[in-house]
Amino acid sequence: MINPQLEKIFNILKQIKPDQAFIAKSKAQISITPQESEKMRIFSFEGLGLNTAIALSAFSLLFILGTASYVGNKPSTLTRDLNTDILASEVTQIDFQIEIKEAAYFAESAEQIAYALDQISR
Amino acid sequence: MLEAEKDLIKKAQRGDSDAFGLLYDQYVTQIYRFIYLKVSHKEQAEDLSHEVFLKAWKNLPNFKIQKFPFSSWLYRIARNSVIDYYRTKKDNTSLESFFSVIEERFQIDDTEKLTDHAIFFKKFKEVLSSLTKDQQEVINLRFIEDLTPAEIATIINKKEGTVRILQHRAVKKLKELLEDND
Repeated sequence: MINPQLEKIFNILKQIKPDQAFIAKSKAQISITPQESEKMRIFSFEGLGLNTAIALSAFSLLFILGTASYVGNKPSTLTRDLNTDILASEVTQIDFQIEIKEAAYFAESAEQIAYALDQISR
Repeated sequence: MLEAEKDLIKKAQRGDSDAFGLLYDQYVTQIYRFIYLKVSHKEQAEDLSHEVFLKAWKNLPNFKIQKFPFSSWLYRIARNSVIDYYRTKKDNTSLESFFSVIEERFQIDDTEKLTDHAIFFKKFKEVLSSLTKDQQEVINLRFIEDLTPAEIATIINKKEGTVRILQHRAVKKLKELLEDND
């Protein structure tokens, strides 16, 4: 049983109330603030059970480690593509192929021109 | 939790700000008072109360109705906000505020106007200072906010039995000290 005088003190403190102007302003501000989206909830694992969250985390970790390991052991594509010697060689080969194609074109066209001139002269 | 309140929470969780407004009206006074008695400053109490309801509104989609009462959830947010407030302010005037509120609002610090009630209040002030922080918090939540020990346990993150022990010891100590002062 609480002392009656103590109870009086508690009753005085119970009378404390916020201003109505504050309540109106605060409510108005809150009503125009967006709530946290469901997407955020999914990404934060909030909606998942503990076991599911642990399983997903373990899977993600394995996937990241696996990918890193694969990339680390197979430098082929990326590192080869960044090798300047190979790139220079490929560029030279492209030029060479263009030159052969041009030579073939000129040879063919020269033959046709000679044939045309021959026809005209007759 | 009442069915009507559950419905309001579900509506508010789907973004219905009018439903949240009704929940706000229901709890703003007690949350404000809880904070005011800890910070002893009207504007700070208003800012912190607004912060509590704003956090509640933003995080409402994550609130699980089955877990604990909505009011307890609000008190927990309020308690954490006050802890953060004092962490940044680096001072603690919670107990002083408890008294300055009464003195300021009811003008009972004037010696010419001393009544039996005011004399008792001054005694109460000395006695309450001897309680631990946990005991003071339990006294506040139990006798000013009229919460059950189970609700208090949820708010201050202790077992219900611990809350009952804290309350019992606090009341016993208050009585003993008040009797000694007579």
